[in-house]
Amino acid sequence: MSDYVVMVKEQAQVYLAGPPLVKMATGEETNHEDLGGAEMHSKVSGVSDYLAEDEMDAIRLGREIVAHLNWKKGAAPVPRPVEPPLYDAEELLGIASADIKVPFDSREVIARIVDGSRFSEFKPLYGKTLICGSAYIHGFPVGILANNGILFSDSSNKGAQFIQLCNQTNTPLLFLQNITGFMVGQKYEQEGIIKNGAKMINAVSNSTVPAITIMTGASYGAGNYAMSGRAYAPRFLFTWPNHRIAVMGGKQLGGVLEIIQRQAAAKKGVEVDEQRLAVGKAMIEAQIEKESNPFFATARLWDDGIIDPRDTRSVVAISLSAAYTAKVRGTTSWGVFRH
Amino acid sequence: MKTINKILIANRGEIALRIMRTCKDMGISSVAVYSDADATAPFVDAADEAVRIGPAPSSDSYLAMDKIIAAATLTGADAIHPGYGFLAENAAFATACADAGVKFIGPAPEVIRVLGSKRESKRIAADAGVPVIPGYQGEAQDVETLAAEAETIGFPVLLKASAGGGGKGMRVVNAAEELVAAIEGAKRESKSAFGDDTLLIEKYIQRPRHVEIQILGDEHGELIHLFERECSIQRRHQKVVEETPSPVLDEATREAMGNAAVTVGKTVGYVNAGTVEFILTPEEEFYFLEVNTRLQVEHPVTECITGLDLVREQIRVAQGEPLDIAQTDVPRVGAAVEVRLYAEDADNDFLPTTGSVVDWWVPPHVRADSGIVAGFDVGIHYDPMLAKIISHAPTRGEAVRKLANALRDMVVAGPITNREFLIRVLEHPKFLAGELDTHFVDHHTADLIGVEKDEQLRDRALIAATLAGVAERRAAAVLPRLPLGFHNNRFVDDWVELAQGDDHWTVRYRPLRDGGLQVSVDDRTMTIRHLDLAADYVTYETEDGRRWRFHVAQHGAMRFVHHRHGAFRFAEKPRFVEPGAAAVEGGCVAPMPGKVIKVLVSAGETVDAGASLMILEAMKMEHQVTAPTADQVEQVLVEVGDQVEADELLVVIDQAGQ
Repeated sequence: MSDYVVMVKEQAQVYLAGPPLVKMATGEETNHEDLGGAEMHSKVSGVSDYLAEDEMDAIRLGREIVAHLNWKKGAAPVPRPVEPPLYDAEELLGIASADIKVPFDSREVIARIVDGSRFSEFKPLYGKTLICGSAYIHGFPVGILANNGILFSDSSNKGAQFIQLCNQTNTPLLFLQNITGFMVGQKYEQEGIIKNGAKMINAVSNSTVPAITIMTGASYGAGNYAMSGRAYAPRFLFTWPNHRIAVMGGKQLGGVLEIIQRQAAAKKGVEVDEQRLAVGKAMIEAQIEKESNPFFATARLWDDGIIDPRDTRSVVAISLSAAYTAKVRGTTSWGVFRH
Repeated sequence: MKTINKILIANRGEIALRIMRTCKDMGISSVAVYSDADATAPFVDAADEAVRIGPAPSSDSYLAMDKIIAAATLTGADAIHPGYGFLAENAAFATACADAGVKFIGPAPEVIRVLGSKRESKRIAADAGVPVIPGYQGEAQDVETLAAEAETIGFPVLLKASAGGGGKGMRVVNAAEELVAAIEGAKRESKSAFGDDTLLIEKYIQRPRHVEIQILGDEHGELIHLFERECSIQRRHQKVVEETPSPVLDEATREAMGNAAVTVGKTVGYVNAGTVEFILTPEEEFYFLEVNTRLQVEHPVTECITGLDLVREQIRVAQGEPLDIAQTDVPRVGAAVEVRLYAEDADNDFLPTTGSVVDWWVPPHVRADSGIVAGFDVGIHYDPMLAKIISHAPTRGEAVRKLANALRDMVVAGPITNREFLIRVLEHPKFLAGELDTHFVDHHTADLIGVEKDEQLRDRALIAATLAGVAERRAAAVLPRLPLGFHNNRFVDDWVELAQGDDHWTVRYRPLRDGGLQVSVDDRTMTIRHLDLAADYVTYETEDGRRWRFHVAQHGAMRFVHHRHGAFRFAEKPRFVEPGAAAVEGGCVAPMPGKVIKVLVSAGETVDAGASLMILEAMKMEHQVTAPTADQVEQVLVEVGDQVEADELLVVIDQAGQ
């Protein structure tokens, strides 16, 4: 089904049935090379279009083929001068928190990855725990959503609106994720955090402009969804080595399990085995801690790789360039936003 | 007196441009004639008019008298300047010009003819009381007579072609047993070069200096000299460094030589510019050698110290004007030195080289008479001289240092040149001390030829070549501003493989966080900072704070890297090699571009190591192609008359055949 086939001499073989099966099926005695070797397919059957001397030669032929694909990048943005950021990328090492409980201002990250450190912030006075705004990275226009705390109803609504705007202007999205989740509690449920959070997740789900996600710190719970986690199919997703990912934190999960177990025991009217409970809680905490580790995550392909925070600008630029291989086009079809 | 309004220049390259310059100064129109090979040469564009006269070989163009005369008639030129070489000393051409009613800028045909014969001119000089070297100039040319005469003169003797010049057909014979073979070789070479195998023999002077006197005569019997030029630095019997005044001549000898030159000139009624050549012994005895009846290649040094424009003087004389300067009024200011920049490989027996001149720049504070520009192709058809670079200063020492320094700065990227050889000559302590003779190059071979380049400089040049090659990333359509060599994967560096001859190096580089670059040449790693990639220059700083600036010219896979202390020509190796491009083993390849004039072996023949396989002719010189090992000839791939390129496979020797 390939457009072009390059076979490496005395290595590539392809046939419907190998020599043993051919012998069993028809009684014909043959060997691998004569039956389906690269030379036969290049000279006799035409299954192969190019015969390569070795792997390097196959790569050479591949490059030659690609050189003649007559491929054009899909409507790249208008070229503009590329200014390096005014702030030193080296400082990202000090900005990123080793302990996810220590917050940092995402604007400090943005200032070190966008052209000329210029950032045009959207709704700066509203929903301040989600920073939204426009910038350029290596000349590519990009809409940035970055966490400065947990998501509330106002910040979720702001995010949903901003994603819609970027779709309207065919602008790719960059998510700088550092999120421990949506705000919980009575007050927030009354504000409708569920339907407001759903608006942002709905926007992320239906958005068709390329999205690139960088995990710069925490990635917990439904916050992962709203900030274009793996399941929301960003074109690329890279992580910083300090980031942690889980449905919830180990301590929180351990505490939740303890509460549930105590409630269950009370219901049955039995004594709680304190020692067992403590051991179980510690085990859960240790497991979550271990499995939140970025190396555990990246080893399971939950992301496209861990990057040095100082490389973020270059990595995002290459990702944007790759995304622009196809035409960047936003959607106008959004399903139902619950109001 | 007949005013000249339009001059046709029957020459090419730098001398054509040189003559045009004076034409412009004098308000005279110029006409260039050019061969097919020179269609895009700068001298054609510079002329007021130009006429194409034929195919590349000189015999069909620059030596084709009828075509040149026809071009003069076509354009209405009233004079022809022959420059040097080609038809400059051809009496028949001077006659043809006169017949066509076009003024030939040079002496009368009869004078050219008489002085063109070494024997005739020597006789004339001797009769006029000018000392000549003992020798034989007889008519009898059989080997026995020549051998006997050589014995009489006493070894060592020098065999020369009577019709020759420029070292062609010349042989030094040290002992009687070498004589017969040398006579035959000299005769063959002379015949092929000049169509005449008449030889003359003379006493060979052990440590001679070549000193010549510029003369200038008008049509009214006035003739003066413009002092001497010392032209002792020669390779392959051809001058490469010329200067005036000579560093050794005392005033008395200078005057005696000047008077001798004037005597010779007056004896033959010499008109126009000419040069009387002498041999000067270490004891300051001088012997008349010959008269060149033309403008010399090295005339600019005389112009520098006298302030005269020799081409202007030639034209004035040709117009019938009298000389307007008396012998005693000729100025002599400071010292001037000239070098001839050739497309040739000093480290490979000075064999001519060819190729496209990729970049060309000469510092403006020296005089450069050149016929080339960047993009010019140096071919195999004509003399491989690219330019003459001339300096003038109050003292010899200053002039020499100024010239050496200018040569260090000048950029000539493309064909291999003798630039570095010339620098080594000029900076040689013996040269600076004025201790020179015509064997200077042979005596100081170790200091001048095959000098190894500084490895540290070479490594830095390799880095410059690599970075210049990747600089095009900055102009790429995709992400031009990404850091050079950026990789998300930090276990892989970008790399380039460069080769020079049989040597090759791998250069790797990776960006550092502080904007620097970590670079390694093979296993030698260094950090460079403040990298600046301009269009032609690569500048960077090394860890010791030193700034390195390289001029880098690129042409295909070639990277020509120039630094004051050495120039390099690297070839970038392709990362993916097409299979089947491997070289044929056991092959003999052409050492240089040229024409096959003789094939001495045929397939199946067994040859000894070092045996001659064929003779190539290039730049009018014969070059032997020899067998590398004693083996059987498997295949001869060329035949007589074939034009071959450098490194073209000529003969396949079957090493397994034994």
